[in-house]
Amino acid sequence: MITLEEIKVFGTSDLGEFTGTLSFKAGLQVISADNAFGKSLSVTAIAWCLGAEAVFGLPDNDPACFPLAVRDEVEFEDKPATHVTASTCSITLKHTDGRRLGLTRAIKGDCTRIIAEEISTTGDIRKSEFSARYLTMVDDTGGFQNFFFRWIGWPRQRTVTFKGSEAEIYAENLLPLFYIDQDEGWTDIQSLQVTRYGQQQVGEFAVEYLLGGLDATGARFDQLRAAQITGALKEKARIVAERVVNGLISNGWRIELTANGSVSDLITRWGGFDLKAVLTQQFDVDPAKDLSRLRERVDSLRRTLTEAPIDVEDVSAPISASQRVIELKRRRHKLNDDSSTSRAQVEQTEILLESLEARLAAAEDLYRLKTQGIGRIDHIECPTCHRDLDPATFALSSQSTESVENHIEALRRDRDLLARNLASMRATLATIYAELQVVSTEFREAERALMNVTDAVGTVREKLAQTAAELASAERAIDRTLEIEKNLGLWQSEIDAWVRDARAATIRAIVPADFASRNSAFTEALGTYLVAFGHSAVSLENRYSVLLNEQYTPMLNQKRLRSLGSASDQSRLIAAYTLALADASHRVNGLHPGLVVLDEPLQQNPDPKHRERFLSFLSKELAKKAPFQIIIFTSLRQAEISQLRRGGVSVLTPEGTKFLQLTMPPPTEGEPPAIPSES
Amino acid sequence: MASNVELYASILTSLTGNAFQAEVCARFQSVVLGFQPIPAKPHGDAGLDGFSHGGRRGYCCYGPELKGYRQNRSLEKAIVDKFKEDLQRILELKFQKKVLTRCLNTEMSTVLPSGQKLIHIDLIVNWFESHRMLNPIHTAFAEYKVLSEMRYVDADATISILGPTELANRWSVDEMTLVRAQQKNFYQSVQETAKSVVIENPKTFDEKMDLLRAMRPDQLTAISNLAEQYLTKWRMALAFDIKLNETMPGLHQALEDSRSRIVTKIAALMLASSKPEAELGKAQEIAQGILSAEFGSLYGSMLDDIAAGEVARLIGECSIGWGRSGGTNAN
Amino acid sequence: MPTESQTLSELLDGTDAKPYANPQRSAPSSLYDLQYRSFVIAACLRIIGRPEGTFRKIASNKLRLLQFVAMRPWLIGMVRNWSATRKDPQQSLQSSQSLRRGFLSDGMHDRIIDYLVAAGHLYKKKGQIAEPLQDTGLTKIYEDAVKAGLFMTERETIASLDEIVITNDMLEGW
Repeated sequence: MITLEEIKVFGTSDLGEFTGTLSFKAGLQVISADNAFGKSLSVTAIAWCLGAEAVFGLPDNDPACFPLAVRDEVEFEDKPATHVTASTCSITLKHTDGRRLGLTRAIKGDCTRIIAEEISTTGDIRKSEFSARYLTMVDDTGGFQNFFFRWIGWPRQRTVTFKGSEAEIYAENLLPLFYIDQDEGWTDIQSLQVTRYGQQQVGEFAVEYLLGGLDATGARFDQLRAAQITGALKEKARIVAERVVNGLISNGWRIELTANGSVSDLITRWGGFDLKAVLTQQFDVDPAKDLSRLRERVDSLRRTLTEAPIDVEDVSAPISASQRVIELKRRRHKLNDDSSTSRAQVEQTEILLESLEARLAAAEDLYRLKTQGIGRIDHIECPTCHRDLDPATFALSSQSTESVENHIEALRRDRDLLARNLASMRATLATIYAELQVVSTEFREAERALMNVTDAVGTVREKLAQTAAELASAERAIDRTLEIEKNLGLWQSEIDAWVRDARAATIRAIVPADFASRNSAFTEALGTYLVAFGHSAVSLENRYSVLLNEQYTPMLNQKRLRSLGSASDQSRLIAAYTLALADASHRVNGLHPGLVVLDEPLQQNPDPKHRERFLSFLSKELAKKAPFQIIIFTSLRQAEISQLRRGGVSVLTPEGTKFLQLTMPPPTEGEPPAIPSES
Repeated sequence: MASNVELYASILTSLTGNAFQAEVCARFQSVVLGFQPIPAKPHGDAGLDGFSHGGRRGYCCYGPELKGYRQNRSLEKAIVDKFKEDLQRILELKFQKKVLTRCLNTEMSTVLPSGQKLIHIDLIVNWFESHRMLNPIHTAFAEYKVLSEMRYVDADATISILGPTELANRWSVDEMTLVRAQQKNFYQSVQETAKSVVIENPKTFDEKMDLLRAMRPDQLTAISNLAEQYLTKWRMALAFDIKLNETMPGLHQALEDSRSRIVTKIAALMLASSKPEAELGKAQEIAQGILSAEFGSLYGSMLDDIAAGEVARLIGECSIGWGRSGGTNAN
Repeated sequence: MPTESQTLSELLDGTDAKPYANPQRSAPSSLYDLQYRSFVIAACLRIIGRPEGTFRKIASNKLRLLQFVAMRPWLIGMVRNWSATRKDPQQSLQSSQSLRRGFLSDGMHDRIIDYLVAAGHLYKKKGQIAEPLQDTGLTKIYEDAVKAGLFMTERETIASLDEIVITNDMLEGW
């Protein structure tokens, strides 16, 4: 795919202009220089020029990944430290199709832009400027990664974040699989992987992507999307169920409507759910019938009020008005009593539950204390006679973990009982309150009616007053019933809307991806490289037992390979993994850039055996004949350099003790500044 | 196509135990005026499952599990033994040291109308494919009449053995009869299926109650009531525990110790017993006995409730429970 | 009227149910575990105990109350109420009766203190409980548990109790 041809860092300081250049060839290249030369500076430039500083955990456009030597004060060979006024780095990439790309980005200066110089196969040059980080992928004209992905031939790949939004795979998500930096890159496979974007399963996406498994990444995306849609639907169902149930409770009706089960279960259950029918069946509630009855009553009362003759002998009005008040008062009193009892029960149960929770927490902590074997007073003896003190002498004991575990189980059952009780009691209380509200309103109306009737003089007026009160009451009942009907309609439409949305949700059938062959190529390559690197847990005999799990973590005999072998095997594992991925991708025509950068693999474990094994690997055909570029930055002894060169390994030993060297002194006063050279 | 009679006979053959008895009684109730079924609980049925004709005709049912007998001979023997036993009870006789002696049947006087004696007894069984049962039963009946005081059986009383075909042929079999019998058949097969219900190892209180419902579908109301009572008492026990913990921690520790002793005692009794469920029936009594030592003087009259609460809690927390026999570790 | 157990027994009779009773399942509360109680005492001494010379000390009657409530955090409201009414003898009595009955009759606390004193981790000095400032057996329990983030509720409760005025009169003056 691509070859890294050059890394260049240049700038100006108080002592003049400076520059540092490293050039590379295809295949295996070892760059050996002493510590403090500036090797890591050049390695960092690769990530920086690709706009991928996020791999270092840095915010956008923050050059803190670079040493102070290019940001603040630089020390040139045989010169004192001097202030840096400006610095820039650039890399040159060559595509397998012959095109070249130079990427330049300021380190100290305006680091928000990347300047790209495209050189076509015919030598045409086109210079463009892009935003390094801002809208880097979505901006089709100004975003750097948008441009770079097109240039290198990487398709864009959607991912899903934990928050449910869509995101993409970025360069910084792929870089950790072929760019292993000195500081953190060797701590684990994909240790530089960027997780702060919240992309789900980003590590798996990256591996599948580089292996060219776009079917697999597409299927993974669909699966995550489907899970998200399902999650969102379930949450919405829970909210709808809660709203409907609470709304009904406030009217004194308790029904069973839950959001339990899968989305398809819910569609089945809610699909035919008729709220009005349920209320009619369970509570004999029929708002439509009630309305009709009430309207008839209203009409009848109106007629009575306006047309019907009144029996002057009928003295029942004040009696019936008064009786109604008494009856409602009695009902209200009883409901108050009930609510007060119910409330007390709820409060008691809340306290009980609180106490159980506290005891459960204490028991769980005690269990952890005992299972972790911490906090134990191992041996107690009398300080005077030094005889062992048996707690049993004091009628004390330490419980076994099993006993504590059993106690925890029992407490959990107790808690579940009380939680259910509490939920039920709260629902009961809510229905009592609802009924109390209705009764209170009716009571007030009845009192008013009684007052009007009592104030009226003569049986006719009493009767009229009573009829008027009844009419007012019936009209208010109509209002309430209309309100109930409206709410029922609203709740039913919420349920229906959810069912419609759930049915319509395009949860695409997930096509199983045929990724097996790519996975096999990777697994096989990994076994080969692990043996080549001399990983102590993997041999020629058992290398085929090395497998990758669902997260593409290397496993051997059902254990993570990371946990097997010696401490120095860790860096061998990471090197093998990185190279195997490149190798496999090449074999299956994947999307790996064909470039692997390993910064200071030998520093991870300075023991002689580790160096010996690593150098031995470099001399093997596997490394020398790799069909992709491997660039290793390290510090070798002269004898080692000679040994490698004799073995046909390309070892570059830059001149001087420092990567950055002065090229031009500063202009003297009055002279115009010289144009900085970029070659 | 089989006739109703044949169908009914085959359904009767497939019914066993209580289901067979229930269907026979229902059949008699529908065709014999004045048929009176006799409930077995709580005091036993005195040997009769029903009577009619004012106490002059008696009926005994027996529906053994036919699959439980490999050979007809064993099945015959079981049927003969069962009916002999019933006749002994009706004639107030009992074997004592292999000698048939008189033994008063105190329940009979509460069953048959006063002064009435049985003149005929029908022995109804769900399998009657061997005449070899006739001789031993009839011979035994004659023998029993000689030895008996004959308080409830007339000297000239007779017996008949009826199988499914005989019963089916006695009266016409209409669709209602078939439907009723088929329902019982279905109910029985549900019980059979329930034996392989998934709840092998109920871990929670609810699962235990569901298992009980599956095992006793004829007692759903009783089980629901029981569950409700247990839940209420369990809750009371928790409240008592917490209050005791807050106000009398010494006594609270005694309560915990007592709880452990209650379970241990019940466990020991169950192990030693061939009917462990019977020991479970004594749980509250056991709890009361153990709790009275520490709590008797303080809580006296409340001890019943405390004991009931503790047992409920032990069941709720699954220290005491039940599972399928043969299920993996109901514990 | 049959008891529930008798009803249950009748229901199980004739079925193939296998009843069981598992004494191991009936496990005692962690309130009676030596390690747990030792931790609570250690926490009280460290959070509320005052350094005095080479010891940290706390009044033994106060420790008795603190450890009792630390294990029963839902009672802290009762302690606050008691403190608020402490100057009114009648109200104080009413608001504290059951709480006092509780912590005063906590026999296990006495046994634990005796045990820890016998082991040389604690000392009784003139109505005070003292623990040497240097490492004792209680140090390990406390530090290990805190490091592992355990018993947060107990520690928070003790810290809250430190903010409530608890006088000698309240603990002993009735």
